[in-house]
Amino acid sequence: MSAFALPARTPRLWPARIGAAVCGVAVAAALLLPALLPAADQMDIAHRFLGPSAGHWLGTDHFGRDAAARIVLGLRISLTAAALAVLVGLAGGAAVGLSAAALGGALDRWLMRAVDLVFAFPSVLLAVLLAASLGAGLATSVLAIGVFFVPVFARLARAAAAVTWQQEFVRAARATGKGRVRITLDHVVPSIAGVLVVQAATSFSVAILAEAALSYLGLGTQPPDVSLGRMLFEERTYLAQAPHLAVFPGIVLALTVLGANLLGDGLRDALDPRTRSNR
Amino acid sequence: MTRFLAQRVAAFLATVVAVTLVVFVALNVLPGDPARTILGIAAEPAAVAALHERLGLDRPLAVRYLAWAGALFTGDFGESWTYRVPVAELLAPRFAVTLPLAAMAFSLTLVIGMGLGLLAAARRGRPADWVTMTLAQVGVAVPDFWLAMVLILVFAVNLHWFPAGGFAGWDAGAGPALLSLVLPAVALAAVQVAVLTRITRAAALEVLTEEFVRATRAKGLSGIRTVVRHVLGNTLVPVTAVLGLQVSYLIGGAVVIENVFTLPGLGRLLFQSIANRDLATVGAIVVVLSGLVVAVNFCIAVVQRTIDPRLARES
Repeated sequence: MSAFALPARTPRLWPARIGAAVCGVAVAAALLLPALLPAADQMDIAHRFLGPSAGHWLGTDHFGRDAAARIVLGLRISLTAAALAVLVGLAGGAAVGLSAAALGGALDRWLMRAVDLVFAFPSVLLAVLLAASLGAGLATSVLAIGVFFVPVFARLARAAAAVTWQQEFVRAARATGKGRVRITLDHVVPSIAGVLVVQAATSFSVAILAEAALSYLGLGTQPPDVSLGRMLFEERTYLAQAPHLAVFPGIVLALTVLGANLLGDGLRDALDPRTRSNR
Repeated sequence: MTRFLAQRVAAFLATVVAVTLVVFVALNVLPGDPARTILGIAAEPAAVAALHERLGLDRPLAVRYLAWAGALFTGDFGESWTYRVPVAELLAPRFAVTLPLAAMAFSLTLVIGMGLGLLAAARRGRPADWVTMTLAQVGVAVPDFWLAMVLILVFAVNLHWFPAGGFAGWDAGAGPALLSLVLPAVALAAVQVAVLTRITRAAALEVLTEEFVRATRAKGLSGIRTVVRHVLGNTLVPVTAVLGLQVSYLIGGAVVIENVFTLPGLGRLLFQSIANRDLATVGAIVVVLSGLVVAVNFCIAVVQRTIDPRLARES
């Protein structure tokens, strides 16, 4: 059999299951592991740059702090920041997209043009610009990443909502005298929720990477807080001396993103057959 | 075509103007006083007022925007608050690092990404497909700056094949300069290669199900030859559509990667200017890089229209 004769396959479930498992492990580790590990902020200058051992699973950093405990704490902040950023984008984008679809006309056109404009900006530059004017910090980076997601959700919400507005049951609702706001909340939102959830799952891994990049530039999480990107920023000076300090946070970051991607793809295949990936 | 070009040029100019507006608002309207930022919180009110006047901050916002944006279009980017030289002078030599880096990463993305995507499509369901797609899945998940650190560790610190960072400069000849861009370009391109591989494969598989491809198979052409002769051209349309987004990511990514390798490009300068609160330089760099992305997208729209006659019929 060659590639030329194969029909489109039904979606496979195992990648999504692996993704869900990896994400579950990441969240569980971020919540539960701190109880088993030494305190993340306990310095011990006499024992800097130790390699992995029973006492320090992943060794110690440049202040003699337990690297595993730092990674778990960093993972917790990275996951929280990413989730908040997606929420900002989802809320903002849904609001813009739903209003555009509900009101139509000139407002629709101008809102969508504004959305295209934000798309024209390289996302890192947008975040850097916001950080430069508002000052670096976790809140700024969450906001900057969220703003980047607004156009993504707005386009999607508008496209899906516009289809819903054309359907019989919405027309019937309009004929009974329901207002645009009521129809949006009662009929449009439930019918496009699935598409938005899929996009939220896909955006989550992008947000984790974006937060890491901003923190790596020193524009995200500020000390004493730590995110995985911030750890890499701090350990890059000791790359030759203690490579494990830079390698482990990166692996945790990559595995988490991989899990989130697999889960997002799986959800999309399950919930949104129109965009089913070609496997 | 003339009407199409006129529309695209108008959209291009409107976007560039809008970009300057966004940058101006972000740097001037959002909370924070540039004069206080430069002088520090403890500055004398008189000194702050004097600097306000020197920077023109006492004029109305609209006047300041028009003066600033008008100067931008004539190539006058203002004066750097930190280095006390025209920003344009600071930017010029940095282009000689950032542009070759982005071009190198873009070429790698295009060649490897499309190559692997077509290979995977031609070998669908076989080990080559499986390996390529697994690598692509991992590639999308790896943070580029972390990959950069690992590349430094392996190829610079341990193997000594490439420099760990810094830039040799073009004066010493193209060899050393290009050598110092190899690792950064690979780190920058890796994620985009993975993205393009997946998109090319999906696009190629779509084409492979069409009748004319079956006909070439019936004629006796091998899988690879069919892909090269008949599928490649048809996958260009969806691939071109994502290239604009990829250029945007490459230029944004260059800001991060230049900082990992301490390359003296625009991204490194942007980062230093933020640390120095040199907002005049920050604004200029963001406008220039965003303008570049908008310009590339304009070119891509024109190319798309040229290679896909269906777009002409639609409009």
